[in-house]
Amino acid sequence: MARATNLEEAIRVLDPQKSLDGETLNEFYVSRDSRSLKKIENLLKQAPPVKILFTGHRGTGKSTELARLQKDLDGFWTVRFSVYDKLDLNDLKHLDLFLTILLQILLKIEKSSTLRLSKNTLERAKLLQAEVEIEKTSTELTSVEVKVGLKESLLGLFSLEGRLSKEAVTRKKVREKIEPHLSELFNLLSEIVRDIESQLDGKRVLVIVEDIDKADLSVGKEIFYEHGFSMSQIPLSIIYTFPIALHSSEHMRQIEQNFGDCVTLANLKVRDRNGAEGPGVAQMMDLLEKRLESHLIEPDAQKSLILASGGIPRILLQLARDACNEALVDGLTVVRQADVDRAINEERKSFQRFLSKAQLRLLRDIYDTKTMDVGEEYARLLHGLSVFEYENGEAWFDVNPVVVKFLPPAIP
Amino acid sequence: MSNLDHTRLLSKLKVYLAHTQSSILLVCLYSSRTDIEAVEKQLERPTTPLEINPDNLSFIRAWLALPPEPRLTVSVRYFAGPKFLEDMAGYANYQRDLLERQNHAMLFWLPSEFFERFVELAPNFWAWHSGGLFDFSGYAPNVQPEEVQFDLPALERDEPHTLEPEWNVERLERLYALERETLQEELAKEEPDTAYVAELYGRMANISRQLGEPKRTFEESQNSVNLFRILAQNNPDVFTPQLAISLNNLSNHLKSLGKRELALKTIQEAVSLRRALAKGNPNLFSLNLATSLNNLSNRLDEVGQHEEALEAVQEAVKLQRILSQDDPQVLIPLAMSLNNLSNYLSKLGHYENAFKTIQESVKLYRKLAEDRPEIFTPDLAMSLHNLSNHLHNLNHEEAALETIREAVTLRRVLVIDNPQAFTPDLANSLNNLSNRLNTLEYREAALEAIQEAVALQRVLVRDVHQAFIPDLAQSLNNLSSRHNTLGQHKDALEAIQESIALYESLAREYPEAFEEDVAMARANLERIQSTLEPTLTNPGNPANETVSTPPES
Repeated sequence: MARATNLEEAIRVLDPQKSLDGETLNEFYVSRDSRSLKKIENLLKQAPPVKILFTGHRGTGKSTELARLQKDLDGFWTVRFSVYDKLDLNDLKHLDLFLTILLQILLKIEKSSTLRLSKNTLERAKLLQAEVEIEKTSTELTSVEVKVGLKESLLGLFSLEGRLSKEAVTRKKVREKIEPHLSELFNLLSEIVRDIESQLDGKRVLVIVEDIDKADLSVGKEIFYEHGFSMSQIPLSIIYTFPIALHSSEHMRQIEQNFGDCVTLANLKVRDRNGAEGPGVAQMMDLLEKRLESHLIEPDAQKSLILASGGIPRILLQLARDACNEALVDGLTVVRQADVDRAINEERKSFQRFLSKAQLRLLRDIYDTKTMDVGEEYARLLHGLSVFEYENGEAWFDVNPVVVKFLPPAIP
Repeated sequence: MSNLDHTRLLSKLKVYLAHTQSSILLVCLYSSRTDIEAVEKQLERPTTPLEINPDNLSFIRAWLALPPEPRLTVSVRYFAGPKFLEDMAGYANYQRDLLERQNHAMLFWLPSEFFERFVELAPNFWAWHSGGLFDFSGYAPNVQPEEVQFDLPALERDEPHTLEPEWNVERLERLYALERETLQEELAKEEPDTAYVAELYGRMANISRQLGEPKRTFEESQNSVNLFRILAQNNPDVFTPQLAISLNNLSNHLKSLGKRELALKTIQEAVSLRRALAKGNPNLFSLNLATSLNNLSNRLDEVGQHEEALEAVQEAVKLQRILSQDDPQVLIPLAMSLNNLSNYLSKLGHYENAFKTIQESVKLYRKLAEDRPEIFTPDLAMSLHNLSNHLHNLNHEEAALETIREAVTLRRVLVIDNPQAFTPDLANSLNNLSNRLNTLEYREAALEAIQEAVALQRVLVRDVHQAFIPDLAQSLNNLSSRHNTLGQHKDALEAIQESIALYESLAREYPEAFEEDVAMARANLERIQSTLEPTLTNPGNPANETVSTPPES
């Protein structure tokens, strides 16, 4: 997808829902120079396999950063998948994840023209398959040699691909079957990693599991709190996206005992705590300029959009797209300040409709103090994007700039 | 909103539809369905409608089943009334990422008055929107807003909703016809998929019930049970849970047909199956077993087996107590089972135990309502209403009054937000408040409370449903008693005569249920008349008062 040369194209290019990957990553990615991403890279370079919990608000760019990490990270053979694609988020258990991680690694090996499993490892896999498979595969296949292909040899395991997401009965059966064999599964994973790392010229295996953060909090709790110990025992390096709500829960201390510190992708600071413009403005400007030819938007209008976004890339794209729409409705070819004002105003009107007086008073308090108390009402404001969290050594909070205009006056 | 604003909104909508290629959510508001038609008529291309209604709250499956090509403009229309908003918003919020994966444009139509609540319930889904809010309410000119009859809360927790909005009928009939055609197509195949056929019968039974076709509901539900029974014989692991569900539903349908004995027998079978399932896999099935036990207790109570009803709900409570230790979510059904348990204990005269049990239920609901007031305040109010009754049974009149006052206060707040749903409950609690005030001889206040209850129930009967006539008749009887106590005999006479007229009309249709009430009201009339004849100033004997509104379950 090329940079937009007119406003019609801009509407397409400024898609707030699509994270960058592949071609769009090359064209539109803006480096964040983020401490959190460096922290991930450093953790991965440690000798023993690590488990990293990666969190951040919706729209901050976690998926894009993980795509970038996969592309740029030297020294790793990476398997990246979304639990949305592979499993049922309504019914996701830690056991499903164990098996899916195994399957995704096997699938990537199967696609490789050079990687092979040793005979021993394959035998281990077949033994586990015999316990896990639901329908018996054809008897002829059980004696097939490694050369015939991994898929044919492990048809019982491979047949689960796709079914774990669609068939509740299969999921339940597989869970029942795999639970008594967890240590066997871990051993198998360990052997597979050993096998392929020996063929990867020093590269190490890394698995990135995306979108667990989008599941219900109870799912996150089941995986990271109730079965945190098992999850942390998988014998390879894994990055899990992690629900931010769980991050601020009372269970976090226990979770960190198994996983270590959580890594948070902070929002870009377009303003600092005192309201002065921050370094995020330049990064956000870069983000827009990579997608739009500069003549499509007046400089002041661009700046207004960035400041109104609060440093959240997805919100910037959303507002910018709305502003392009406003300009098109007026038959214009360039986005002016008036179009941006209209787009922001439309967004503001929605907030005005659903924020209660009590919530506005809380927001006023947050705006004045840049701090936030704990509690459901505050969590709701965070979830509803009325409040953003920033990091500057320590965490601080600010009100969504779109909302600020209609806050009640400060109490003297 | 002016015409100019609407025109601009429409232009923006068109720009988005013309120039986006991937998924986009455009949230639109309507005040009448004609707004939707009028707006969509202006679009360049026809939309693909997808209705959200009480049978199809999770529209996700239909959305995901849309072919990826060509790109569509899908008009998702929420027509399900306020009661289902929360469920639908939950689905939408939770599944947003799945919804986004279809590269279609979604026009998401909500009734204007639901918007704020929807955003509160589904912030994640709302965050997907583009272009602000497309408020087209009032867009279609010169059209009277449709009169929407809202649902009222189900009378019993284990039962399906008993009152359906009238505007639903035509659509339900269409849906029913579709299900029947699908069934016929499947049955015409050489090897029909039995499980699918059983499921289709179950779906049809559900629609038939809502269409007020009890006989058809029963037959379809019975077919579903029969097929699942065969499937479960051959493959018990897979189909026994579904057989248990279908039996549970059949029991409810039988109860609606008045076949209490058969309803009991059916739920007993469901309990027996779930008991075996729970034995094999307690983690998976114990909670379901507890639910069926709770239903069993209701069925037993209906046939007068109060001891057995008590035992069943006690077992449900026991199970839920164990399960709640690991899963706090189980506290929710536990609170409800405790409420029912206290009612049965009370019926059997175990007032002290009933009191302790309802206290525990109130405590749980208080905690739940603290955490999620929007969900659990109605339940807290219900349990307080019942606690007040139990306190009254133990002659703790001051505490009973204080408690029913709290219930009334909570319900007044609930009515502000949702009058359709909570006015009946408020009227019930006002009726009981009047009784408690009267016992403590706050006569004027007691009269005021019952007058308010009567006024609310008159509106309910007039505007919502005839189902509120028994409540109104009872409150009129109590109103008559209050007037009589205050020496206002003419007013007392008028009220009791109206009460009798209502009870008589009910008794003509349901003699078993209302003949006793007619007799009681007539006796009260005689008493009032006897005091009227000698002198109008003699306060006379107080009239028999109907009991407080029954415990709520």
